[in-house]
Amino acid sequence: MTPTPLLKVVPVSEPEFAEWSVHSEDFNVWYRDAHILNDINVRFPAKGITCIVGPSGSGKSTLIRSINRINDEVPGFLSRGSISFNGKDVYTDYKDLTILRTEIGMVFQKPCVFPKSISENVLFGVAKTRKLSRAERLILVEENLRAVSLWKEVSYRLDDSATSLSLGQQQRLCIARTLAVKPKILLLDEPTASVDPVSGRAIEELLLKLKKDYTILLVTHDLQQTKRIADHIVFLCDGEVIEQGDKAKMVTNPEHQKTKTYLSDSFCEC
Amino acid sequence: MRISRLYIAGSAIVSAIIVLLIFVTLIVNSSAAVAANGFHLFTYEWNPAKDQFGVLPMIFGSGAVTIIALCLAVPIGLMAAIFTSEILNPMWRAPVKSVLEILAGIPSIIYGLIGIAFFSVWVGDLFDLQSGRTILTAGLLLAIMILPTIITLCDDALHNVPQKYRETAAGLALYKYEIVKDVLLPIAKADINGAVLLALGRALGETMAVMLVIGSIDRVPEPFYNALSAGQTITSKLGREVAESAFGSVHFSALIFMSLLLVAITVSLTSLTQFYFKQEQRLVE
Amino acid sequence: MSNRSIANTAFVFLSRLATGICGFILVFLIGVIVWNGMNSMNIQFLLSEASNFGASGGILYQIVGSLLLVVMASVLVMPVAIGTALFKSEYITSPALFRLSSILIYSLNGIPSVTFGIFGLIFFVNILGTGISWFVGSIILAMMMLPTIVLTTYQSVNSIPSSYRENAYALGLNKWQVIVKVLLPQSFHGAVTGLLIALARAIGETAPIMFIATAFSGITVPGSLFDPVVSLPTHILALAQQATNEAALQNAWGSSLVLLSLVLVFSVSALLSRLRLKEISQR
Ligand SMILES: Nc1ncnc2c1ncn2[C@@H]1O[C@H](COP(=O)(O)OP(=O)(O)OP(=O)(O)O)[C@@H](O)[C@H]1O
Ligand SMILES: [Mg+2]
Repeated sequence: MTPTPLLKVVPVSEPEFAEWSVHSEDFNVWYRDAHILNDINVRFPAKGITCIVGPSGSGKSTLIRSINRINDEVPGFLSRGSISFNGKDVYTDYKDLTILRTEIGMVFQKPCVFPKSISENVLFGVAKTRKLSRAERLILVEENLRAVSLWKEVSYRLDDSATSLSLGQQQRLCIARTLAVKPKILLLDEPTASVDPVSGRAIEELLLKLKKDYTILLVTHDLQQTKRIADHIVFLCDGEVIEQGDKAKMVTNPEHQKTKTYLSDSFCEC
Repeated sequence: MRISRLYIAGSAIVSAIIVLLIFVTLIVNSSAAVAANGFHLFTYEWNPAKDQFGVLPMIFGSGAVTIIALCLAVPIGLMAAIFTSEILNPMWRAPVKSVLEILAGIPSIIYGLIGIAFFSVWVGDLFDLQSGRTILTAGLLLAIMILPTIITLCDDALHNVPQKYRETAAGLALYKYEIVKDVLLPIAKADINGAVLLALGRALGETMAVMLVIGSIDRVPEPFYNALSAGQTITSKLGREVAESAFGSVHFSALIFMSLLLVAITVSLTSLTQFYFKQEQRLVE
Repeated sequence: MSNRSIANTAFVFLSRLATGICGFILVFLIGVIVWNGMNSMNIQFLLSEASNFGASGGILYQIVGSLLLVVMASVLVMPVAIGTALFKSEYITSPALFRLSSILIYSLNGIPSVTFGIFGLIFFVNILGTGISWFVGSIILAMMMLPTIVLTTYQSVNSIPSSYRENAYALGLNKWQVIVKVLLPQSFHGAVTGLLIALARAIGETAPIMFIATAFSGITVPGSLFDPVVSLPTHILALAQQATNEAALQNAWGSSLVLLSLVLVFSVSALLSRLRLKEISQR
């Protein structure tokens, strides 16, 4: 299965927002005195899957957590430079973070369901945005559980506690919960790392299905997974972007030796 | 070796005996009042001269001041705990907690002095009363006394909720208000209930401060919700009268009976809270 | 602005308001005690005897009496508390007994302070006929301090990894030697922390000692363990009850400031000792 990359060549000139939905300019992050991200210039294409890869501690999570500003709450967090999303600067143009976060949804590495029923979990974010009628609630629950292929497994026990689900199911529930808010961009931080291989595959299938409608940024350690589903790859090492480009170029013909070693041997000497 | 075992087992036995001795002493010494009065203990008249020992006014007083104190201190304390745990820069949390600990350590007699010198005067002036020593004054003072306990324990309860819940909820575009109300409070509920129970026990058992400002009249006010009249709690009654009554008299025994009631309530509350907290800690670990 | 964001702003405002109220109360309480206390504070006040029912003179013997009460209480409580903690952590094997011991300790912790005073009055003063005395006051305070010290000591003994014990047994030490050589030194700090916390509370207690240990006036240093003492908290109580007398009230504030300072000395030491305890247990 080779999904056709949306972009064959990395454009060097000014990107168009239709194509580049998120991009950063000289973005830096510090946690207290530690300089974690160093002059990051990345561009993520709209619609499609961008995999962010790199060794542990290279700052992948820090990068995507900076995009919807979840990092703001971390003590000692400091940023400089800009991240733009559809032409607006994430750090200066959003006074109200909830608006930003309805547009940029996030799924974390460890599934985190609230100790409530399955359907309440699905509705957790949307129910805040507007009053939902009973019919709307039922529709939303079914629609989003179907979207993550969980409907068949749980349709008969929607009122059970979400904590009773298996880890893989919980992670899919988390994705459904995020989809229900109808974001434009999905940030996923190693969503398959803490689930079994079968559920992991189910999530991959799901992402391939979703990429038609969503811009997906996926942090992953799994190079096989990257090769299976990525359209575009960003390689991060020690807080710097070493190389980025579409999958074909990155895998077969990378410019940097580091990228080549990492993507073939998952090893990095940085 | 034998001496050592003797020492360790001995001290454990001493500890156990102390507790049992307290209960036995109270039970034995309250029996005379029960024998002499039976169910008449649960009436409204307290008049040792006429051998009337109705404890209901004191039970009412204890209940009333405790309810007033909790109604004031729980909402304010919980909101302040939400601030210290969720809004305040984490850097400041440790100093704030130390200050609260110091505040909680002010001896109750000093609270009593402040109550006499300020609160009762204010209440008297504000409501134009002859004496500002009222049930309301005692409730107010108690509220202030239990506030630090409530803040610290509620702050701990909220702070123990893992960070991932906050991040997940924020990622779903919730406001801080909604995160606190719909995620953190439900998860921390057991600990918060424990905190309130503990504060309740403290409030019921508090003696000196209440005794100085409540006015010490053994009557249920008319109408009963009139918090601006003087009253009496179990503890203030004990503090004032135990030394005056003769050891072995029915009067003394009736006082001990009240003390037994109080101990039964506070001990069950405290044990209950401890088991609350224990379970939660295990969950967090 | 949406309704949600208004609700959020209101909520944040309310929580700030609540904190502001608490801060105001804090400043008021501390301010009142310090301000009024400083007005009657001088060397003379600290170092002279009370006279005229406390309305004039100083509080030297009240300070001495308070310290005598808690020092004696510490001497009485420490061996029992450490023994009980060791029993709880090293000797109890049955879960039922463990539960029972917890219930007993928590009960002791839950008993209101005035009840301790009443118990002392009945059991020691009347039944055993000890009379109102320093000794009875200290015993009762010791009982009140017991649960706190047992719990902190127990926690620090219990946090010692069992590998320490196993190594010690492997070296051929018997249980008592293990306790003395391994567990006690490690847990000593926990016991001291507990003692300081308990002292900070005990020195301010009025209700437990007012029936059984203290007389109001005419007393300096007790001649023996079985003589009554004077103490700061009961002194403040007596002065507060003559609140219409300006001079008495003035001295009550002075005594309060001194008492609060003593409490602070103990509680700040407890705080430091606890920090150090954390350091030790993290090593
Ligand atoms: N809250 C924090 N405070 C201080 N330093 C942090 C914090 N979170 C992360 N770091 C540091 O920032 C660096 C990057 O961390 P990050 O979590 O972004 O790495 P990562 O690429 O996601 O690694 P992994 O693949 O292991 O998840 C690491 O050196 C980490 O120690
Ligand atoms: Mg990561």
